[in-house]
Amino acid sequence: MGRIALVRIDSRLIHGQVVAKWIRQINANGIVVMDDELSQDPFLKRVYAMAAPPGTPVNIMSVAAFVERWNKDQFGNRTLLVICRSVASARYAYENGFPLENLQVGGLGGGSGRVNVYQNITLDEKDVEDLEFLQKGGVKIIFQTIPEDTPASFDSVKGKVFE
Amino acid sequence: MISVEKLEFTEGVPVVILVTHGKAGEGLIESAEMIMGPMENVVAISLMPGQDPADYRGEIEKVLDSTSNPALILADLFCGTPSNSAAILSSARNIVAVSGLSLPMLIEAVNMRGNLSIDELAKVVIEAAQDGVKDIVEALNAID
Repeated sequence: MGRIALVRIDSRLIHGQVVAKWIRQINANGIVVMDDELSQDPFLKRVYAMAAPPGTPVNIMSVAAFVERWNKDQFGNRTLLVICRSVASARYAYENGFPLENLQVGGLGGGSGRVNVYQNITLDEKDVEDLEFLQKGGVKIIFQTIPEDTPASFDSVKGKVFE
Repeated sequence: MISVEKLEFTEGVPVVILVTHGKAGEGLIESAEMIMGPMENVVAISLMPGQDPADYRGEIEKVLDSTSNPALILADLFCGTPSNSAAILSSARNIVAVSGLSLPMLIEAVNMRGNLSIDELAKVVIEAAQDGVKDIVEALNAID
């Protein structure tokens, strides 16, 4: 039976050494990038898939396609690293049937209205709202960039957005 | 951020474009000039913290559009934003781009660009960059 070993939010999706570390850490043998927009763009899909470590299969699919496949055969025997690009997309996945239990916020860059809350992870107020929604639904949320870092809890960092 | 004020390139000399996170490219140009003296037709486009990737791609296009000379893009990190910018632009225009930018790669690009087509230049700079990676003491010990 396949299993989802890690669900990670990273605006860079698959990028080199960080993803390679997580793959080793969780012993993943498959990456799924869950992104409705990207799944519609065959060229961009190739650009992002190129970043995966050689030998690790990558699927870039919409949330609906993931949920359907998951319910059908759990991706066979694969141990999956699932990546989505934003807090909003993680919430959207959760609301559309994705079996989200643990969520790692791993990389979110700057921009207007965004505040650095932990290492170089930023959040804005909408992100906090969405994460609170997920947390109320029972999702466990941590902030962590690489395996060597101490994870921070959502509760411990969210206040910084409102300072 | 583009390292030169005016995009004016000498005719007939391929343009070498360094695309990097932050100003690594600008620094590398300074380093190369310590060895090569002043270099023409080399420009660094630095991805600044928080810069929108589409904006960054626009800067690369601006440099490419400013000249009819062939151009070789050298990117710091494979699949980083600068490298992906070149990849994305390749769907709409002819792009020759190599990742793994290093000082030997830059020097080779400048040394060999007068003699080779841009595609051949890409191949030789890859080789030069790879050849530049050695265990120094081991190499020394291998000499009688």
